[in-house]
Amino acid sequence: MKQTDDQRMRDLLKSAFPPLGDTEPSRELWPRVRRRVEGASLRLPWFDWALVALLPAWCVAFPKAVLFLLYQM
Amino acid sequence: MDLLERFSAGDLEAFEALFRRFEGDVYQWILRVVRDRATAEELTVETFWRIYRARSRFDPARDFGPWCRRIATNVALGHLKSLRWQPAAPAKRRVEAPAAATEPPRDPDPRIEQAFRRLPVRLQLTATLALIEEKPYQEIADALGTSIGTVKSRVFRSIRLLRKYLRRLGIEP
Repeated sequence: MKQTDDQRMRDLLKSAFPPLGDTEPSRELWPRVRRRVEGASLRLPWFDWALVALLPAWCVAFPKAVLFLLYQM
Repeated sequence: MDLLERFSAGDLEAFEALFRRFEGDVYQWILRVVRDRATAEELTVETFWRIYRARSRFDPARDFGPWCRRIATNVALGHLKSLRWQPAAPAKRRVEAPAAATEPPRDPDPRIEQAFRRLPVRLQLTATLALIEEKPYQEIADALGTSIGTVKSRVFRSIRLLRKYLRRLGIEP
């Protein structure tokens, strides 16, 4: 009984969502994937930008730190 | 160094070779969930982008296919969740059934789709794969990163909820 009910539900759903068959993308997708990959490798993460912004502020607040920074470089 | 090791190390040519090999599978899988060709293409691009980003976490000793499908499933799931927060749009033209279908096409009752879309997204995803696409439970469990027991339980809950929603809409399932 339960199996018949489940089968009825399957049939009902299949009537609302007809089979899709084997289809392929309508266009070449690789160029889009490649653009995203290359675009991302050029982009700096937000954390790097935050560090760049923090550096001058740190140098102004602690001028002696510039010597320490130069030594580290 | 083999293809998967090169991919994991960030080699773009190796990634392209994997893309060519698995693009069809990923696209088909996503299309079955979202049932719209343009959206499936968008999400296929998104999936491969995430695959590339996660390359350093991939263990080259493992199979690429199941890992790739799991990411595709998460992307499709994310899309279904995002639809929940959007106002209902007019139904998009669906992918046509293959020409070889023997029965003449009938207009589907929109209330069935309405009831189906009310299911929680995880149930919707599982029910699509299990009840509409009739994928094996093991395959669904692998794609969702869960157990067969969980898949069975979700299918059971989907049917129970669907029955309730359909009755409310005046359909006796």
